[in-house]
Amino acid sequence: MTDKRLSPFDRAKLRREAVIDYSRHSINRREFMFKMTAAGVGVAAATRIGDAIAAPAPAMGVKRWAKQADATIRFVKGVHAANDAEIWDGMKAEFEAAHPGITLQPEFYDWATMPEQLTAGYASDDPWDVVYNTDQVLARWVSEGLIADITALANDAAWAGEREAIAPFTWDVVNIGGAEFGVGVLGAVFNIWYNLDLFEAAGISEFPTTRADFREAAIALTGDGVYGFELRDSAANSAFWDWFPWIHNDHADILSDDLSTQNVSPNGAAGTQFLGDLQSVDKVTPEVGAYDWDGAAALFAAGRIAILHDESWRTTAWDAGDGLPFEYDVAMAPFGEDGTKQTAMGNFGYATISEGSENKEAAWEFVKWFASADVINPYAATIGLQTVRVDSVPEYNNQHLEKIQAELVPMVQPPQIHVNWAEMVRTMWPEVEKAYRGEQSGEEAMANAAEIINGLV
Amino acid sequence: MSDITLTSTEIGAAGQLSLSPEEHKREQRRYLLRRTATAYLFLVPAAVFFIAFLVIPIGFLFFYTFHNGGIISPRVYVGLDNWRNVFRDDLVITSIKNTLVYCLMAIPSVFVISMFLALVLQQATRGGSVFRSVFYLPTLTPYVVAALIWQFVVHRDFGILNMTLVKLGRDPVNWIGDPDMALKSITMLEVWRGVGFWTLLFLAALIGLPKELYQAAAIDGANAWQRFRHLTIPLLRPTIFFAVVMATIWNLQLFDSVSIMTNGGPQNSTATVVWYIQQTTFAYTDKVGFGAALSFTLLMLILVLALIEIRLLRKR
Repeated sequence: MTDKRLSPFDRAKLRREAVIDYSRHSINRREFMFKMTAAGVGVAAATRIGDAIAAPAPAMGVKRWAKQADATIRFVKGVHAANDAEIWDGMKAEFEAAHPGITLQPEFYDWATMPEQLTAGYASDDPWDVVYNTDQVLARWVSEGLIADITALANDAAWAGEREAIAPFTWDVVNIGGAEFGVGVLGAVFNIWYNLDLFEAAGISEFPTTRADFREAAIALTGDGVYGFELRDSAANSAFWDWFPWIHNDHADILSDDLSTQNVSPNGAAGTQFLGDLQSVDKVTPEVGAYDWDGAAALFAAGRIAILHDESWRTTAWDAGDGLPFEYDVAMAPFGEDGTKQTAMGNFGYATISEGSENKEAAWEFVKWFASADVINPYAATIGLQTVRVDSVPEYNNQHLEKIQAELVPMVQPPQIHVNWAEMVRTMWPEVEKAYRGEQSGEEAMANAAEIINGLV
Repeated sequence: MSDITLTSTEIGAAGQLSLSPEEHKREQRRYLLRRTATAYLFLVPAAVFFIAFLVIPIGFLFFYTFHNGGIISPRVYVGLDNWRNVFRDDLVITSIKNTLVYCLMAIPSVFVISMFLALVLQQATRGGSVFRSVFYLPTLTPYVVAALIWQFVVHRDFGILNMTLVKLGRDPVNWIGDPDMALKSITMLEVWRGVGFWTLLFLAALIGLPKELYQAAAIDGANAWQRFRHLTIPLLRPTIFFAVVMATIWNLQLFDSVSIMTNGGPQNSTATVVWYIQQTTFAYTDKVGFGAALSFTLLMLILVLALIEIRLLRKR
């Protein structure tokens, strides 16, 4: 008689021997897993203990608004040029040289998914210190309490001269509920480009300033593989920018002046109908949806589109190298139906400091630097955008950008500032698309859009 | 009953083991406890992941359906408002309809093509592995790359589809800019990406089928179609059952290609449920709860459809 129970020592010995049974050339899987699990847990625990011992002591909390030494500023902005990251490598070096102790970390977001990316960023425990926010979304972030109130800093007597050099309307935009939440830096104008060679060939000497003349010109320019006109048509390509001047010129906008109700219906119907007719009746454009934004720009550059609604920065790429094989110029959408109003669409970008930033003082140093004439003007000239400074203009090496800055910027009617503005525009856009395709009239499109907008007011 | 005498083969000649009934019960309980504890111990890692990354998030999601905000703004209790809004929102209906239409186009298409390719590959005596790799390649392609490749397939001027149509004397098609064509174009991309996976799955199942049945059927005069209809399909039923359920679950969650290629357009013709969830949760103000309610609606839709499929396929 023998006791069946083995001593722990014997069991351990048996297990050791049983992991690999060399006589059978097999592995005891249970024991193998047991040992591997034990080894894994052991290594993980040892690593954690090692990390805890080797880790530096936690940084001291920084008092809000206190002067911060050796701060790192994370700045995020939309991509404004193909080589924007490269440009910012140089700007980072300049900023850091001028501000010892502050490290600048520039990052970029994609314009098409800007709200989504910024939402995720702001929701994190470590939001960017400075965010380049456009007027489309600024009010939303402010309403969520994500942007720091910089009223005291922006009204500091030592900075008063610089403040005055920035266009007054930008201060109205960032003034929400009596407090200021950003500093205007850049602007983008959405203008029309037209091919002078094609105009000359069609016997048109002046860019049309009435809708009737515009239609006539577009029809005359269409043919032989050339489209008379093209504008963006999908929300994914921010098509609303090209649509706005046509309704602005008819005294329409997304909302009324006091932002209390919609203002697309009935005022926006005529402009929308006109654009729809050009596309679905006169057929002076490529089929709606046939080309995306870059595709249409490429067709213009190839001389296959005579009049193109696009953005000002295109010219920097077109004029690089040998330039385009034809002469081209810049213009605005024609006057509205009553012939009294002609505007250009444009939107503006503001440098804002995140409420969650732990480096607000250093962030303000960066904002001041970025908004200064010596920095923003050369940067705007390089990327082909406009500035909001009233004391100076960028020194463009491009006659088109000079013309835009001189003639179009003063005519810009910017987007309205409302918490749900971006959502209004995105959700109503399919109604405009239907009008572009001739599936409904401009009047119907605007009536449906009005309902959507009022639901979001 | 007195002592129980057990003979242990392991102990062999060393002797016998005597246990009282109480001792036996105790040993039995101890053995069962040890065995159960060991099993649970091995289940712990999986259970931790299951609870941490599925049960808790789903619980949170359900909690969020009764609130607004919560990601970047304070959470506000709104009762059943989000649930009511889900069924009032026209775009929800549109996105559910688009998703179902897409599934009805994509799943049968990918299965027919995959089954055909699997049958061909099964017959291939040389070069089969090369073709298997070639067919599987699109499945391995990241979505962004696949969508970019597809841009060259559907491009208005130099896309291979329109170039072929023009060669055949037909007008070019506005593949992703036309609301009637956009969802079909997305379906083509998804079928192209998925066909390799399902081909290999069907091929693996086909290789495992007993050859004797086919030989007997051939001797009895059954032609290829009859063998496929009356042998292959019934024998593959478990595989097809798995494939239909999984394909339904996966395809109802269509998002990536829509986000990259059309972003829901044109005119919301490619707006799918998951795309709309993403839009409401991250792109719009204070709609986290609405997105959560929509997510739950999708979950229920998937469950219902999967259950219907399980019922239908099991009955046969």
